[in-house]
Amino acid sequence: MGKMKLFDEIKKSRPADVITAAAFCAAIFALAILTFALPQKDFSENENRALATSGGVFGGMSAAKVFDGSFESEIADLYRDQFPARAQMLGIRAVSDRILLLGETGGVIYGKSGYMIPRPDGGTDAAEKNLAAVEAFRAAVEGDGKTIVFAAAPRPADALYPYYPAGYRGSELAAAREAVFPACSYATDLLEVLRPSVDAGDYVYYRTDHHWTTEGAYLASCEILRLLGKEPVDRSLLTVETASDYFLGTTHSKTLDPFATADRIEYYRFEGDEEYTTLIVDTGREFDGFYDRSFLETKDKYSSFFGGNNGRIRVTKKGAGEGEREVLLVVKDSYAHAVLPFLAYYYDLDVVDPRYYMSSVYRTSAEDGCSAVLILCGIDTVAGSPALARVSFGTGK
Amino acid sequence: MLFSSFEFLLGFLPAVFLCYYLLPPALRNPVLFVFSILFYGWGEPVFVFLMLATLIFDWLFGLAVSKNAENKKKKKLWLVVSVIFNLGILAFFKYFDFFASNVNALFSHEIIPVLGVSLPIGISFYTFQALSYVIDVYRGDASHQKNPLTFSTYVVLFPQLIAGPIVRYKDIEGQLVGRTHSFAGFSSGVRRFVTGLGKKLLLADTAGAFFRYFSSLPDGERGWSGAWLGLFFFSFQIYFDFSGYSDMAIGLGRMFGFEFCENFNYPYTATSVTDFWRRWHISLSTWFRDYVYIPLGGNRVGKAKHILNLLTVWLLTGLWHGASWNFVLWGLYYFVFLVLEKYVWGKALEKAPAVLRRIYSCAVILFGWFIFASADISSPFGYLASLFSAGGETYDIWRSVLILIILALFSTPLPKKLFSSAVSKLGRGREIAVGAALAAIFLLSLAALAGSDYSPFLYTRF
Repeated sequence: MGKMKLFDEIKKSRPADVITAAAFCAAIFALAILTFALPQKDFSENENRALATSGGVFGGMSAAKVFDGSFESEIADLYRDQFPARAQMLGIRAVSDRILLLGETGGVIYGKSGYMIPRPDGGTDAAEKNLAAVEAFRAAVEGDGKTIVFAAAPRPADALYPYYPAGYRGSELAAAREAVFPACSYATDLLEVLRPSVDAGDYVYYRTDHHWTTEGAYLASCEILRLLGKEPVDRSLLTVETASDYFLGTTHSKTLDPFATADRIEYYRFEGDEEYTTLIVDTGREFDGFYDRSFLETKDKYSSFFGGNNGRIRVTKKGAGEGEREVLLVVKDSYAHAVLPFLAYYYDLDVVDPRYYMSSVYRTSAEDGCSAVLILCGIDTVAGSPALARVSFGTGK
Repeated sequence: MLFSSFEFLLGFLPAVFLCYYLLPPALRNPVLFVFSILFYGWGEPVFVFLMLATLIFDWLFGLAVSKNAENKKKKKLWLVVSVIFNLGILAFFKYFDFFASNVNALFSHEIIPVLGVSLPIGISFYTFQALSYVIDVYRGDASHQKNPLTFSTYVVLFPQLIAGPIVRYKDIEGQLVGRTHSFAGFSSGVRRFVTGLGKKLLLADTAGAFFRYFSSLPDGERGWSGAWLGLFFFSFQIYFDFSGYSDMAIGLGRMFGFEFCENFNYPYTATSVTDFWRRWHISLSTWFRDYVYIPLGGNRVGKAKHILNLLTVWLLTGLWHGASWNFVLWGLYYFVFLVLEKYVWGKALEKAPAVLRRIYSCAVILFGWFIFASADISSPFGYLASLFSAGGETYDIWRSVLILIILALFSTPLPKKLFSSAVSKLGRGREIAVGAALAAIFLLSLAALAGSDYSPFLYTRF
């Protein structure tokens, strides 16, 4: 359309039509330009993953990738990841879901009192294999004369039953629980330990994260220590430090609901807890005490407990002589992170995460001089993650 | 490429607008052709070759038919060749494996190898369009398009390429060579497109998520409430998905000066099954009516032949929807109801109160959708049994209520009427209200789009 013709066309058209056409074009052109012109982000804290960038997608372009369609799907990823105001858009989605009374966003149920309850997403496919592996590992460890405790942490949906929305019965929760507890006679169901506090309305699970709070972890530690033959760490020895009063965790990340109630991260400190050294074996990094406070500056604040997920960490007390303290081997997922400080009160800790630790856990138990072993994972890990099956490696079964 | 994707909205569409409106008008059809081929090949470029072959051959068939306009025998021969060519390609890509696996199942061993051919996107739609061209030229309803590029632009025109409406050549023959572009046309296209985008992303996808949830529940946990809700949600999902797509197609067409036929007319307000099929996927029904049913004699034949004609059309309609027995059954299901309405209870139905007629129609349609969806349900019989079981989470009922009411309302003309009457009182503010509503739908649609593929990986470290 020539310039003059365009003006003539505008003159003879209804203003509303011109504005509608212009606004639509302006919107899509502006968003298209912004998607590529704004500085590109290469990591999403909310999603905890690397993002597709123009450089990566166009730099890796090839005829073969165009032809097999993989370039086209990378372009789709690029738009998704670099779309301007993506987080705000997701916030709008969460608000509109709430207005429509849909009850949930992205698989997260809006419970009472600001609790966000993730629907359990793990299956039960891995339960049988995992429990068989745990049994082989237990037999081998007990054969070596060591104590072993196997405990499973409830999912938020198991523990947050007082906060279920009207009519929610949680019938989808039974399958994984039944695949773990009746199936394994010595598995400790930590939900039963937490239940009195849950019933009393105590703050044992975060509102916006899938982990238990430090209070929940403390209650779990009391039962675990009893099972290990130790006295629970007495409350009178503990001082509560609020590490952060603005924590929006993993469950919030799934919805990005702008009206979420932030959580509080607490550290239950005891005298001398700075006199420990945490060594992240994977990277060789060391820090004093149990907490890597640099994570308090990020979204992922729960990772301030021992620096988050790592294949293997060691926690030792400074100044203790060789063999002076008992060693506990902990086979765990992230639920254990908030529990470890209470265990460190009695033990030097050798902590392995079977999702990232590829060596034989049994061989490790023989080498690190541990006197006892704890397996502490969430129900989802026990029932649905193939990683726990690795504990039988090296046991000969 | 889907209309409801960022790469279409923020990549393809701005690019095609720029080229279409900034280049000389003579290049408009070539621009549409090139972009349509790009649109078609996006993700599966290999099928572009199949598309190009279809375009070349069908153009040549049209030429051969028109060259032999005076020689009836030859003309007919070329038509038959064209039909065999087009339906042959469709049959191979869409039905060969279905046929082979059924033959193999019948004889309990592999007689015909199953090839695992993947279905070229939109093949059922564009094959019918290409066929309509050759048939229209054969019948003298349209003249042969001398310019192969103009003909090709008609077949591959991206707004209606992959999900209709099935635009017949004779209907847009004139628009292909001379169409007007105006702000009025473009803005009406924008309004229609944004409405369709909202239908797809806000209504259909929400309904779809509920259907997926209810259908994936174990049969023992779904309960009667979950089973019925799932069925209602599927009915709304398929309507808003498909009619939303048609709205977007019609809207995009208008932005480029085309006026496509309507494809839906509030089908869930139908007062009979016959009425439903006048309102649902209108371009497909009229295609079958004009190119199959009427050539077979339609209803101007004896009762037995008429029923046979209906059977043919509905078997084909069922099969057109997919190479699977549930679609064949779905077609037969409608055949039975249409015959019953024609010959058994049609007259009585007309005398019944409108409410009863609507309830009857909706019930038939609802169970029809169960047959249609049964291929997506892991155990259809278990689902069917759960319709009459006890229990179900009351939570699921609560969270379905408002959205179901909204879906039901928007499947009637009521919201449009209410909105029109409300804004008509606003005087000059009317345009602002319409603009604000469109902007809100667009913004919410983008939010839904951002959320549709948002699935954080929270448990991995790497």
